[in-house]
Order: sequence, then C-alpha cells, then structure tokens
Amino acid sequence: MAYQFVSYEDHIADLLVSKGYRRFVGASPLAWDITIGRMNDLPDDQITIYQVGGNKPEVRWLVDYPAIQIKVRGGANNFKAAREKAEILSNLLVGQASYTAANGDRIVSIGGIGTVGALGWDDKKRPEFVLNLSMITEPHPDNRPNSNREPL
Amino acid sequence: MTAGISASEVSDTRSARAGMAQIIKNYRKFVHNVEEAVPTVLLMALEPTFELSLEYCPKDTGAMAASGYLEATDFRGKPRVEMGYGRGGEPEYTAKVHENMEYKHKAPTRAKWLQIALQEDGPNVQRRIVAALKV
Repeated sequence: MAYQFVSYEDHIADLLVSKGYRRFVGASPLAWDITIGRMNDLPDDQITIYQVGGNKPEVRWLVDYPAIQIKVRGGANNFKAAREKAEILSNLLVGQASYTAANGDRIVSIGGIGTVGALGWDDKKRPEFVLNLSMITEPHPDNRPNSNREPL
Repeated sequence: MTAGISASEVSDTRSARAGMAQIIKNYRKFVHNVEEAVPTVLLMALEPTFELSLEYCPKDTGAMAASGYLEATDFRGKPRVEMGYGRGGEPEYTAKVHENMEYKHKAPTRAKWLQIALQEDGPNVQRRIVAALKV
C-alpha cells in the first residue's frame, strides 16, 4: 500500500461515518456533525473527537495504545438528547470488532475508559458530555515508513 | 488395630493433620499480613503517580492542585486506594478543566493530568506493588 497517514481520531470519525454519521461541512453543518480536535460554535448539537495520548507504544513491534476522547454537546434545551447521543456513541464504539481501515491500519480493539461523563454546561448553557476510549492498533508499516518498529 | 487400621497408621494421620493445621495457620497469618500491608503498599506504589499528576495539574489559582488526594479507603471490607481531584465538586470546574482538550495550559501542566499520569506511570505502579510485597 502507498503511504497514507490517518490519525486515530480520524479512524474513529471514519468508523462513525460508516455507521451513518457525518463529518462537519462548514458550508452546511448539520446537527451531530463530527469535528476533529476543535468544537465549532455551531451547530449546537455536535460531536468532537480528540486524541489524548494513551499508553506507551510497543518498542519492538508496530502496536500502539492510543486514547481518544469524544465530546458531545447538545443545544441549551437538549440535555436529554445530548446525554443519549453520548450513550449511543459509546454503544457503537466500545467492543467494536477488529477491522482493517481503508489505509491498511489494523484497529484491533476499542474499549471504554469509564462510562459517559457529564461536564456541565458551556458558557451558552449547552450541556456537554465526554466519552473516553482506549484503542489497540497495528499501523500498517507503509504508513510509518520511518519507524524502527516491525509489524507483528 | 482399630477397625482394620494399625496404630502406626492412626499416628501418621494425626501427625499429618497436625502438620496441615500448622500450614493452614501459617497461611492465614500470611494472608492477614498481606491484607494489613496492602493499603500501605498501594499508597507507596501510587505516590510517584500522584506526584506526576500534581506536576501536570494546571495551577492558575492552585485550588485544583490543592484538591488532589491520595488515600487508603475500604470498599466492602477490601482495601482500596483512591486518587483524584475536585472531590465533592470542589472546585466545581475541576472535571471540566480535566476533560477540556481545547484549553491552553502552560507546560508541563495540561488537560487530562490525572489520566496521563496514570497511563505514563501505570507499568511502574505494578512493579512497585510486586517489589513491595516481596519484601
């Protein structure tokens, strides 16, 4: 395969897109669109995916243990819907069967770190929830061309 | 002979039972000692992790860092150690700051200070527990 780097947060976004979600399109954003790394002010109902860090990668083998955070924000009068959306995302992602992504990276597992957490409200009284995930991944060696590690 | 069992066999059985009773007594003592030591061992093993989390904890006012705790508790009769910040919702913004990946913090402070400390130091915690229980 040719080099095609995809971040772990993008892998999660791609997985959610395959399950019917949509990435944020600035020209015509919809409720529950997915953004990466930064939550936009609009729409109110939004899902943002961040990479947090994770556990130490394997030194000898191309195996990583990234951690992901998903933040869900609802409208000011949409607490229940936002809470429910966070739960739905948790159910869709935690325990996902192993699969090979389009760029060749192997997503071995997706697990939860705790359960859905409520963060309260932002400065516009919009409710926020977070879901933390731990992943085990085997990046395709073509996507890590300078790596000292070897594929399993 | 007693019911087909020789006197020497009866003696052997009594001796074996007495020996086993001593083994059980020693084992119970060992378990008791381990149970007594575990809270201290866990606290000792997690102390460097807690110190690392304090290093990463944002300190604009110092209130969040001051709210950090590491303590031995008891859960359903079993020893447990708890580590955290903002217990009881004080300061009330602690969870929000911990989980907000978009705030800018002055290095080395950062969001997720407790989670990162646990992830970075997790393998060392296990090693410290094993080493301490071996002594």
